[in-house]
Amino acid sequence: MWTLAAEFQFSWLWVAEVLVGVALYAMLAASLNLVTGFGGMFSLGHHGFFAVGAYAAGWMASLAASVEPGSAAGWAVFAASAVFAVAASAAAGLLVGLPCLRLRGDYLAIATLAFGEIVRIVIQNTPALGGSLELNVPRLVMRPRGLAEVESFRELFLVVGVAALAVVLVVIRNIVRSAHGRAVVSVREDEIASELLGVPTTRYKVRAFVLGAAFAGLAGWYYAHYTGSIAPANFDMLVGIKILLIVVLGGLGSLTGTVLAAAVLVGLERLLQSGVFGEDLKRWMQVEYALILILVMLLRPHGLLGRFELGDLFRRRARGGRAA
Amino acid sequence: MLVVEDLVVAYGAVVALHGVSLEAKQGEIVTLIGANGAGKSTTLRAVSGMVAPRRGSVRLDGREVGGVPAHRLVRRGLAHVPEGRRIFTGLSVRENLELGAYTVRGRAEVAARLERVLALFPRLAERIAQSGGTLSGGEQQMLAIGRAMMARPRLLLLDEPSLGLAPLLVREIFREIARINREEGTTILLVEQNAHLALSTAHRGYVLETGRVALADAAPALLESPRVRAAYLGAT
Ligand SMILES: Nc1ncnc2c1ncn2[C@@H]1O[C@H](COP(=O)(O)OP(=O)(O)OP(=O)(O)O)[C@@H](O)[C@H]1O
Ligand SMILES: [Mg+2]
Repeated sequence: MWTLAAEFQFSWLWVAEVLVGVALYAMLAASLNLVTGFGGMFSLGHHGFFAVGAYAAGWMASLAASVEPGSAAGWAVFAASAVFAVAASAAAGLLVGLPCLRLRGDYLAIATLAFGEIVRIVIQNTPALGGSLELNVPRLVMRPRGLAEVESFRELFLVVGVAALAVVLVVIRNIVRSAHGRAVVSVREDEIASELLGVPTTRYKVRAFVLGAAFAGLAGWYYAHYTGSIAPANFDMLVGIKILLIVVLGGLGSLTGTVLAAAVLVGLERLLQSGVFGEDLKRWMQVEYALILILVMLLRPHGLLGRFELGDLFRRRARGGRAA
Repeated sequence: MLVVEDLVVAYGAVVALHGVSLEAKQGEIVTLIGANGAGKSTTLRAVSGMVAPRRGSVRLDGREVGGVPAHRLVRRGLAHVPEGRRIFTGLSVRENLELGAYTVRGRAEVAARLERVLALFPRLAERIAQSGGTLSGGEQQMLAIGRAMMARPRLLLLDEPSLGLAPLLVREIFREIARINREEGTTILLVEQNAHLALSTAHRGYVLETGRVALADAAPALLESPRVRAAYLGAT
């Protein structure tokens, strides 16, 4: 039996921090799910687009270091840096996607993996981005009329994170459900057959890939402004693996599954990290990913929800009940 | 309708077609027979835009289409049922068929096409909600052809529709192919290993040998040809 460490408190501050992490990883995983789950492209370099967005936003903010936090100018730069981050990562997505999406699946995986590493190395060698040290991202926004307390800042970012996540989820859902959504699914199912039915498969794949990159960039923007300092080490392969793990755990092609899996994984990670289960379990952190991956493969090879959404499960149950 | 001239196609260093010329006129069933590796599938792939020709020309209704991506040719009235059928096993029969109408505008038109295809293949109507992967081999072939017919093609390319099917089913499929040609007026380019059945169904035929056209004639004449009989019909 473990006893709860006495010094740990489930403070609102802690919960808000965890929820910010959940929103961040849900955004990242949803954007990867668009690429991998819906588009059928295996990308291992999603953390690279995350980094591009974070550094684009961070760099822009660093130019506005003298701006008063919470002022109109601060909010304007905050918003502009979102646009810049999304544009930069979308451009990077296009750059990687255009030549690579004609490649077979395994080559694409290798090319994207290389991209993630290249981004990190480029940042490390760019003094204007802090090199291998940290890039400070000055605080630009505050709650209107609020105090610059940790708590109020965190709450503000929780709201921002939920809003950004909502945008990402709604856009992806609309694409998948649109008239062309079936075509996206058909490309994943069989690219050659789709092409022969008149579906412009390369165009669909490039679009999904670029949009996925753009949303990862939005997550980068969010992360950079929230943490206030970013370093190349925050964007290594482990981050990419974690994003992929959430997608697999939640189910390829399931958005609600992605959010659920992000909550489970990030929540579990933070609980272990907090030492609430004692110091012994803190060490389990290191095997957590591997353990979860093995368990998923054994118990739910298609992820928690498979291709279904949470709503589908209730609907199916209701339908089954009526039929019985 | 379709004119192929001096077509050369290579996969890297492997040259699969060494200058193939053939033709399919409006309303014809033309068959392409030949041994394994003769280049039958490659010819269809070059016509439908799946591979780009290295040399030669492919003309559809008088317009050059060599090198045009496959998805564009669908709107020009071409449909290709590839080797191995490639139905969407994870989607239902209805979804498969509706994807076949990807290039068709308007709900009413799609519904009309669906009705027509289900009339051609009543077995598909019985299994409309079933997932494609649960169909039998013959039903999957019907689905693959039906899906291609959703776009109301003027030229239909069929790659070995008899592959892996029991003789009785093969005859049923070929009856349907003849019926599509008759009732829909679809021009058909049919690749087959089963030379006897193919030549009995087609109006004209080409015999392909290692990437070249060895013989070309009316189907009944090819059926009687000693060379064809010896090599492809198992007669001596
Ligand atoms: N993707 C490919 N890469 C390399 N070589 C290929 C490829 N596809 C076909 N070939 C080669 O091209 C030649 C013609 O192949 P093709 O598939 O057109 O023959 P086929 O007449 O359809 O044979 P089958 O009756 O076995 O289907 C063969 O020598 C084959 O090995
Ligand atoms: Mg073949």
